[in-house]
Amino acid sequence: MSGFTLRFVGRSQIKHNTSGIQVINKRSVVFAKGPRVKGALRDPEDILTVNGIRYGSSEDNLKPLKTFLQTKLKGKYELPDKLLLQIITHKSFAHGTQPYNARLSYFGKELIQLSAAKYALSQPTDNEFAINNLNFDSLGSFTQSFMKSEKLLKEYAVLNNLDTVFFRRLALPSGREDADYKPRSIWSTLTASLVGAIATQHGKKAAEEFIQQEIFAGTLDQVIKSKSTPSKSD
Amino acid sequence: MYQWSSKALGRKSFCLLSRRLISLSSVQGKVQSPKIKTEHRLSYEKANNTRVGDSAIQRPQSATDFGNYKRESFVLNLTEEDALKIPSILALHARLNLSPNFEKRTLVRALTSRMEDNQYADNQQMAIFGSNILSYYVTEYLLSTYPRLPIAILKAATEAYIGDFSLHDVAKNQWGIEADTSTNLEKYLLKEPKLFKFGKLRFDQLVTDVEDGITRFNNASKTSLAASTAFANSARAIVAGVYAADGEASAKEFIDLHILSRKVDISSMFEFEEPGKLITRLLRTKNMELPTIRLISETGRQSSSPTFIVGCFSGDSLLGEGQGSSLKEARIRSCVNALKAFYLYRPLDPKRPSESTFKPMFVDEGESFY
Repeated sequence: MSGFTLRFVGRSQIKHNTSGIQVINKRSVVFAKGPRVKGALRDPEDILTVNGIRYGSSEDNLKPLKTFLQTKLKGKYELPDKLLLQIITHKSFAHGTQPYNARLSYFGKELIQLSAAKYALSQPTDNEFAINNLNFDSLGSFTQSFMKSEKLLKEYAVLNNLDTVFFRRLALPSGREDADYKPRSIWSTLTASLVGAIATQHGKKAAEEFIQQEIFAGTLDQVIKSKSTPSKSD
Repeated sequence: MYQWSSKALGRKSFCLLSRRLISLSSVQGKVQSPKIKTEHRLSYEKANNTRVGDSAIQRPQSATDFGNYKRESFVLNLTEEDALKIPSILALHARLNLSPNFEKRTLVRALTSRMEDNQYADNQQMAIFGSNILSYYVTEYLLSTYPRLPIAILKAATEAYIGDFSLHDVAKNQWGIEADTSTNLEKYLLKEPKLFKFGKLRFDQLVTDVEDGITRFNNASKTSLAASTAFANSARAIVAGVYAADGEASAKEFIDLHILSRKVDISSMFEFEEPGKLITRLLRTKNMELPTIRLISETGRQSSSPTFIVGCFSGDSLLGEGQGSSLKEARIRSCVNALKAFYLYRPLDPKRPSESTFKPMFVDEGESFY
């Protein structure tokens, strides 16, 4: 075994005071750092680190998302630091002991789903079966369903480098990771929780504007073109 | 007698054979394993993610040109004049207090499910839209009112508001929608005008009563629906109709009036296996003092029906109170109440993101100790 180090830590101290003599019991624990060692306790520091980046609301960690929100969207949707850190933390990180983005992304996905449906209805139509000039006939089709899919949300996160700093569990138990291995169920939570956070801080209208301008107007066409027009139902 | 060799069969099948004494079927390897599809467990999720199937849709040149999509089966559309002749439609319109912008024939469409050999416009895609708007507004309401609900409970509560069974109840028992179950012969004998069938909910039934005492269950076709799903879809389609007629604000008001006004007991959805352990871990992650249980009052300790009231405290603050006929029961109840007090936390005067007087919402950190 090479590449791992062992760290001795005095984890617990017990003090007794018997007939004037102070006794200190010290229990030393050995933590293994680096590759997994069977039977050894992992260093908690290891768990809080992803690809060499230590978890915490430091300026370096929040900078990528902050600059994205400031430059691209002209500072319209600024969010508190605590929430920014929560957005870039997935439930799988550090066994879910840190504030994570599951609820924000659930809310964000609901809003994206509604916006996708409203977007489809808002297109001009001359269909005779339209109700009040709203054509329902595209709902449930391949492309309309694609608009709320995890695939699109993941693409948006990757295209905009939202995952520069992203706290999640590394893919393999050994800690090795492939650069292309970006499961969409994890990566899509970045975009969805960003939308959810904007909705909780700036209201539904602002979040819908963000979805329309950023995801549907910008990314959707780009993704559909790059993947050749989808024609089959999956 | 056969001598099985583990090499020839592979280790796994050898174990199976030697233990259960069964032979290899000749079908093995020929039977296709079923395709894995994303399964949605809850009916509101199923309704949100209904796919129409691309063979049923005429797609324009550009896939994102949603205005020019067209359903293949839509040939006939009931005129507004005809719809005005149906008493049950007029009654339903009045009962739901729908605005004059909401056309009567839209209501007819909302009551028409996708069926085989049906050329009239159906409610399938209206129901998808209705489901999307319902699930957003219900989620928004739940998250702003109870920001700490665990996701499993949040989904169960959403299902309790807008799942198939709840919407079935709303459509059938509150709105008075009836299903069209009579046969053509019965209609003829009753001298019922042909138009009247459009005033009832029509769908391909999954389960039919063939005759008295005989029920047929296997009517499964592509379009057949369970009664609860068909009723729920009609309710969803009516919500979509309100959106189309009067806009989103009216649809939200409609949802508030008819769906969110129903009482859902979220507190009873929680089930804690080891409440004492859970409250300890929760307090530890919140950096609070660990729980202590203290007796508040008691009566009849020596009698056959004693009652104890205990409190679960963290330091000096009382987190929850529990009563029981034994100290153990009271203790467990106090821990459960303390946990519920945490998870069912309600901000004072919660505002939803869709309201104009909206203030930034409380965002919970998630269940950090699981």
